[in-house]
Amino acid sequence: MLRRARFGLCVIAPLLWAGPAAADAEEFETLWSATLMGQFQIIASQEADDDVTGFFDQYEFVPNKSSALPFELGVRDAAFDLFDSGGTPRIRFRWESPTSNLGVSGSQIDEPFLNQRGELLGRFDGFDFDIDYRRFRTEELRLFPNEFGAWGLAFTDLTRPDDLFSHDRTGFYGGLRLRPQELLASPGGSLDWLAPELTLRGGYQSREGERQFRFLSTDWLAITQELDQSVGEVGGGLLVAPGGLFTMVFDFDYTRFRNSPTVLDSDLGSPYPATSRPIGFIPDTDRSTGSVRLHRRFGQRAVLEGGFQASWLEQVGDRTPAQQAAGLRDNNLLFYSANLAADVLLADRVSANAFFKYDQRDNKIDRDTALFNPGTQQYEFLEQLRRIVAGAEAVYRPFRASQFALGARFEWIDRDLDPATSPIRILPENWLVADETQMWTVYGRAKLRPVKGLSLRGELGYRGAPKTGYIVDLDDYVYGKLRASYVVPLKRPIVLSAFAQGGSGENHDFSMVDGLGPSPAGPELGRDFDRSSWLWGLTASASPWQDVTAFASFYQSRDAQDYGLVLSDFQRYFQNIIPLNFSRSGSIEYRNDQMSFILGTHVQLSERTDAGLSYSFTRAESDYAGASPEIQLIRANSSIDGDIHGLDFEVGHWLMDGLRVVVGYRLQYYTDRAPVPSGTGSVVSPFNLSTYENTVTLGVTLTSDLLAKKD
Amino acid sequence: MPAIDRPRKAQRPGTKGATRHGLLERRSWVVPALVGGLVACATAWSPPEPRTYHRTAAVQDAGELVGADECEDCHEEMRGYAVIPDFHAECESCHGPGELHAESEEPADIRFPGDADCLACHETGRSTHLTYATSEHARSGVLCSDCHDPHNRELRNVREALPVQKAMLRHAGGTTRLCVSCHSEVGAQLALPSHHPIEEGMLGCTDCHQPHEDRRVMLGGRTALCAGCHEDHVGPWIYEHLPGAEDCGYCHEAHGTSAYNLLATSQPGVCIACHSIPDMGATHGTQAFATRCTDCHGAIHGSYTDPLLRR
Repeated sequence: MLRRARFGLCVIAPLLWAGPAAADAEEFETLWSATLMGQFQIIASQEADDDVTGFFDQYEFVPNKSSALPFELGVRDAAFDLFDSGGTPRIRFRWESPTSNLGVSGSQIDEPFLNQRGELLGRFDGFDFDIDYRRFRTEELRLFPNEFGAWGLAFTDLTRPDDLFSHDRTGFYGGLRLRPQELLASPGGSLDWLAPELTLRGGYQSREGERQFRFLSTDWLAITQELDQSVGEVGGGLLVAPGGLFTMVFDFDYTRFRNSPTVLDSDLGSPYPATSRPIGFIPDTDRSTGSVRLHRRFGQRAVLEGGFQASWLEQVGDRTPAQQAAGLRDNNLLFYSANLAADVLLADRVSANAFFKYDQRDNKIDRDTALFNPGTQQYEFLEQLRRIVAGAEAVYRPFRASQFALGARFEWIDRDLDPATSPIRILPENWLVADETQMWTVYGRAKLRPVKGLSLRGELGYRGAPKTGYIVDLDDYVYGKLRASYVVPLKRPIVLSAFAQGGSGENHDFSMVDGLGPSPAGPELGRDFDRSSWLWGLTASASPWQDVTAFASFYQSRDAQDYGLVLSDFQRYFQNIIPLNFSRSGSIEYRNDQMSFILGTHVQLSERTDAGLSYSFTRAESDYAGASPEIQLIRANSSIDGDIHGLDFEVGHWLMDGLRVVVGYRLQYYTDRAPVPSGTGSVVSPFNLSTYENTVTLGVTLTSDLLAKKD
Repeated sequence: MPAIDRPRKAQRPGTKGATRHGLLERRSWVVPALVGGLVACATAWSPPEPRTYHRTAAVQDAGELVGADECEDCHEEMRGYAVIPDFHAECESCHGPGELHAESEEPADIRFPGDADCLACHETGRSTHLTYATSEHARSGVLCSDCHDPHNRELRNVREALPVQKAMLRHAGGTTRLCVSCHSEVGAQLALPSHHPIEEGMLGCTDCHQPHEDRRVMLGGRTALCAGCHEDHVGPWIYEHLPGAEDCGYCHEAHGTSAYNLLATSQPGVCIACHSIPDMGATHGTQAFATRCTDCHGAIHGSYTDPLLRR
């Protein structure tokens, strides 16, 4: 890690030196600030262990949780701006590290993990650069099995009790833009006329950690799989704007993805079969993408945009033993994408816009191997996918800040699905994907400002789908969106805004066909899928007194899905050899409800002292309802019911110009009401995820004012 | 509409473009007609004229230029900004001649710059604004100045969110907080139990969304966007999960969800809405309903070993 940090400094330091030199300025103005922070946490005892991932650890790493006093030091934020003698900003550096540390107490002092993000921008005559640095960790909760009934498979947990399933990402990304006509003293006519901009970009990211991989082998297994991935990117582009007539951009990018070594069955050891079948194999890949984009404005009345992109994704590096045995060397995907959009002013207040987009995905895998026909392919193979989306819209603007629009969209997807020819296969009658999708939408939208301070924006539409590709594609779909904001005209105005959107549709296109063999003549079991979803919310911000601002927000949503739970007496791929019967085991009513509200205030207590206080609450609930025993079993094991509370308080005081002290407190509290899984066979006993974290922060902010000369 | 009078740059003989044109012509007349039309449209000459955006009217007869010093006499609060002329512009570059306004001191006598004034400089020759004119934001009437503050001394000129809005996303970057000040439903979703680490400040809205882009015609589409960070989920596989090959959005909701792994619907619902379950007891039966489907189908995005995506 230190080596990486040194590398980063080596990259950044020359740029910091080179930037001002290139700015050709005599005097610089610099502004800087930094907040040094110390914080300690009090964490719920069940998670106060470095080897346990708690609910809040998923996204925010707390180092050294095993310590009695998990204390960390760090730079929470830092900023540096450099302006030339004309006041032009040339260099901007930002550092944010909300849970960062320069060191921690206890066991992890030698390997402090830094959740951090940095950005360095430079803007100079003839060239710009952007550098972005990030390092962050996400953790995954350990998942436990629920095992019910006498038919259950044995679960064998080969993970270790102290395994932590985390994912650390560390990476740089940078770009350099060169404008030769600005760099050269006397660029000459053609260079000025072309106004080229050359872009070079590249980056590197490493991803390290472990994941809990669960799969079915001779029994039901969970293993700890190492993650050791790297992504390297390099690319470039050329932009030309000849005479300002149009802009054309050519880009090429190459991405190299490398994954950790393959894990085989034989790595599991006894009593598992010592075969060379890989577990959770992820291919190394190279991706090359080229594109050309065009923009052209025709005077004041029309604009035309278009582009084309081709991308080639290929497997490289290690092949699996089965691949090698089958002689499968080439496994590639080819993507094309093209677009066109235009906006034309037809009359004084009337305009029209239209767009067209075409996507194509070709699966170029060599299928003439034993891995496919007459091998192990059991379901349809997507050979090629072609997608067209197009639409047009007429817009009328009767008066300022208002518009009415009527539009239509059309989406068409054509799939070349190749059926399997193996004896054990899913017959086309019972595919879960259709070879064609057709959807059209008509809509009207409006934006109005009926009275001063009130702004309304809404859209209402209807979508018909003569052909759907998946059962979750909705036909007969009605949707609406509304957004309103109002500035209450008081001495101290209150800004209110409200939003709502919802939609409802269904899909009755899919059915399952009973019987034996191709074109089975048995009865059809219709699969009806209905879905409605809506959300709405309110926000308000106000300044009730001169030194006080307040903010409140409320949000609520529901996703409701109703469909039949379809059972079959055997797997669908046996239909060619065994008569297959489908049945419905009741109807599932799935509901997902979300709700949140936030209250916040900021008070300027005195000229030097300010305080902020906020509280947030989020509720997430998912539930399955239905009469059949299977649905009841789902309900008992798959419900989600949790509340997240967050309370933040921070007070800051400027001791003198350029020196501020900050004291903060944060409480995070999570209540989980979902049943704790049985975890039969796990190496770790499941625990309820309800938890809390108390964080106390002490900080000192230093700014450039501290060193500024006083008059 | 200005005449497209001289398509002089299109199809010069002997160029590569002309050769390609000839080759294409032998195959079909449609493609070369489209290509030729596009090239002609793209390169056709328009009479030189002030580059203004057609939806904004300018104040007429505002008089002569008076210079920034004159502006600062009254607009003292802008004094700091006037020292950065070569960073952004002189006051009158965007506000137009100020003579009439300086004399009358009437707000109506000076232009309040609109998108036209920004785009006059920022549209042509910028790779980031190629599809801005038809973008969601432009079509909805969102103004450049709703997100950008041209008087801001910071690079990128992104507006500062209000301090009180820190309550919404504690550690998110300034740009993200600005986005959710309008898209507050997204702000709420980012606080759900499963989310991208945006609230924690490690990602921002603009890592996935280009606010100046026409989302309807985004080259590559949503799955390509996801693949930019999740290369390990996009294969190429030997056996692939077809919805994943088409659109990650069939199963996942990127902003935030109740269910883990950003699943739009918790398991098993996200699976059994499409799939039937073999009621065979031993392999699926009751056990399937009591666990996550991916506990057995661990290679759900794709596999090199198992057509049933178990490993």
